[in-house]
Amino acid sequence: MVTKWKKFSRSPVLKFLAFVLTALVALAGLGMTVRRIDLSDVYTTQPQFTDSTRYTNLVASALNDCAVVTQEGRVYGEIHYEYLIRAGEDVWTNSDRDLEQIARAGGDWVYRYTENELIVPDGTSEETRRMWYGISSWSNADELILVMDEDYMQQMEEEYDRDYAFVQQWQQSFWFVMAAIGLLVVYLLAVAGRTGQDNELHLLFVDRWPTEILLGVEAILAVLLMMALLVTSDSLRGDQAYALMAIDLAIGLVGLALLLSLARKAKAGRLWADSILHHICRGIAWLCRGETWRVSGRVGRQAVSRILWTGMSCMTLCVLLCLFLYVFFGARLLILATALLLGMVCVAGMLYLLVMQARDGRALDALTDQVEAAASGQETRPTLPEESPLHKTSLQIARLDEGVKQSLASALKSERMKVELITNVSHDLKTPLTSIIGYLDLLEKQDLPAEAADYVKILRRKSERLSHTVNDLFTLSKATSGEETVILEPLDLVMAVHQTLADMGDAVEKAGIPVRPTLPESAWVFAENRRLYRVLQNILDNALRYSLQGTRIYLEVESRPDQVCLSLTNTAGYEMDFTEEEILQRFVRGDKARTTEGSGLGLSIAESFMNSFGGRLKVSIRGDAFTVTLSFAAAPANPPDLQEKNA
Amino acid sequence: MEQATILVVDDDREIVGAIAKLLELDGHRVLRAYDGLEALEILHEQTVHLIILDVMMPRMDGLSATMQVRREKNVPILLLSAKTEDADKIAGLSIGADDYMTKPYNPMELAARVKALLRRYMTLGTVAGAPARPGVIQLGGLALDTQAKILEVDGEPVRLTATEYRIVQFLMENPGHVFSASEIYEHVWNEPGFGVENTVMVHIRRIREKIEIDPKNPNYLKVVWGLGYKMEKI
Repeated sequence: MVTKWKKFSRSPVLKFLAFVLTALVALAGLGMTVRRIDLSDVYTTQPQFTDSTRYTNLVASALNDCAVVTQEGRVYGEIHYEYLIRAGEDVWTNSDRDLEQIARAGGDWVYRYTENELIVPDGTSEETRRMWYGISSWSNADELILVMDEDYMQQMEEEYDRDYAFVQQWQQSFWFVMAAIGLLVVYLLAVAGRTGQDNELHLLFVDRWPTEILLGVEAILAVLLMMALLVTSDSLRGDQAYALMAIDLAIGLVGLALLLSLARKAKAGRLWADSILHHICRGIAWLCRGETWRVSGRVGRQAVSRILWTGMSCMTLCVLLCLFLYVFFGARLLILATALLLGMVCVAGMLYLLVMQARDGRALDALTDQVEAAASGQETRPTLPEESPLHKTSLQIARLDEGVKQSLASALKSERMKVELITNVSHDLKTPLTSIIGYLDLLEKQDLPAEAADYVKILRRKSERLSHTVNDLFTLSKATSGEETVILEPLDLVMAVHQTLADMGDAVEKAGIPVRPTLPESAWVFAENRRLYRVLQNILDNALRYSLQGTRIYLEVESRPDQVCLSLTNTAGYEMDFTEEEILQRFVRGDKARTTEGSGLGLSIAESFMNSFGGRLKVSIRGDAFTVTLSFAAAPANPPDLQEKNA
Repeated sequence: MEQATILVVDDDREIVGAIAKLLELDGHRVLRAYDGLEALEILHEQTVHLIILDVMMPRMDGLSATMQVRREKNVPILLLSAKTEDADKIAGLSIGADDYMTKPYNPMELAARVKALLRRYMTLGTVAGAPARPGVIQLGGLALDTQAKILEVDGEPVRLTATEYRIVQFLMENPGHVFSASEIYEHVWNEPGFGVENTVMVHIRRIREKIEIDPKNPNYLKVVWGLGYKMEKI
């Protein structure tokens, strides 16, 4: 229903009809008004002919005629009244009848003025009376009798009644016409730019013109219309008035069309965006930001200043030339004009060079943008047109970038494949290992010769170590792949160290290497609780395994404002013939010769876990001292209460 | 322990053979199946007291089989998988498995877990069906009789010292809550606890050795590294 209405109200046919209707109504209004202008002596406040300005004018014109008669003895043109004027001995009249007697009898159209009295018809308006009293000031008449022609006056009265009726009618119609035009314009403004098909705003070609031009034309049209209306209403009659009326209408309709265009613009929110002022503002802002010469920091600015200096020098030379010519040859107009022309050519050349420089600068900017985008890993496309001298460079950069991206992608793919491979391999290793361990256990339970039982025990131990290594390998490959998401929480590193030391108490005792911790009361860090344990366990395990008997392990936690460091130092029981980097490489074990328990992945796992916390693991070797340093991101000093966490 | 019927399911025949032999040595009757569908068929025909189920199998994997079994029966299920990650473990336990072991398994541990599951199932009924006894806190296979002051693990009483008992009671009364060492110390010893991490940890370790099948991989009493200790809410 709503859509139907929308479709109907926004249909182009209806809009066109409304526009035409507006024109027609305006035309009718104007037509009536032109006729009304003809009747400018008819007022709605004067329903009676005898009260009317037209009647007063008639009488006034008759009196005027009489004045002419006293001066020149006769009156020219057609007159519709009889008069008798007496001034001293002179008497003027145009009637055969005895006007004095008619005047004495009185009547509807009879006026008699003497020095003593004024006889006027009943109901004569105050204005007309005042006119009669004023006669003495301009005429030397002693008596003046005016008898209007009855037939003519009746005819005039009828005409006046008709005109009055029309004026009244016009008065009412005027408001109706204004209201109708107002409504139509409001409707047109409302549906401007809309169609029944969609909710989009459709702009016409003219709507793309700058706002200032539209507004300016609209203002000019408004002034023209105003003037035309004034002229129309002022003095013109008949055909001329109708011609002006047509002009009024044309101006009005063009103005309306422009108004609708402005309305569409406003609806689209483009009044400001399309304005010339806006473009100027943007240009100034652009210049102020200095983006014009962004790249030209070195290249462009120098070029610009060079151009400016050259241009200025040329102009100075021209001025000097002018002076020289003036001084030595006198001011010959031709010479001066030539010099002036040369100067203008200089300025024009300078401007041309500046524009070209700006264009080249923009091309350089585009190239820089492309390089920047490539450097930050974004999509790059050659943006320069083929005719630009930098087009080829742009293409080459794009090709270079594509190559880098491809190799990155393939590196990522191969890393992912490696993780997948390790996952699959570890599964394929685990299945036979499960059988091996299971059957070795069953074998152990058999009654075997002592020697065979020893062999089985060795096999059992080695298979368990193999299982341990496979698990470590899997853990490491998972951790380095970064595929797992780790949820970090604030943990107390000091408490974790206490717990780990207590948990590994047996192992420490067994190894016979005492641990000497130096710990603050607490140190909160961001970590994941199982992985944190694994890190602490691995580095402690490593220290215990490779320490020289009779030495100690020193463990220290140091809390700094934004990070917490844990360092663990032990004295190696052998010469460390490897570098700090090598030890963190996967599968590199401290002692290359000795076979010890463990997979050799402990430190690597600890390192990748530390990375997953956003922390770092660093190894430093000084003589026989082997130090592992863990640095964590510090958590807020007041971590949430445990009870709160539990709730 | 009386003889039980155990269904062992794995697509690797040698693994099934090794497990079967291990369990038969303990005196159980063992049924073998090599994928999930076969296992379901056997379950329909025979009474089974425990299922040991591999996760990755052809035709029907262990997780789907677990869900199928759980629709009809509450027989205990032990998942055995080469997947070692916590997420896999949690997924298995949350769909209805009773225990989870990773491959390669330790035969002694497997035997112990089988024993615990069977005892819990046959003497106490299922975990869900365990009758609530007054004054007894039940937590998985743990039952703490606060009146008799006895802790039973899968129906077997465990000897605890007075301090150990108080720690267990404190933690079992608040399952799932993490307590720091000093909180536990203050509650159990009734003294302000400073630098008591070692003392508490030593007790925790001893308790774990008594109540856990694999103290290094505890089921009940867990250390939350860097925060404290908690009794898992099961």
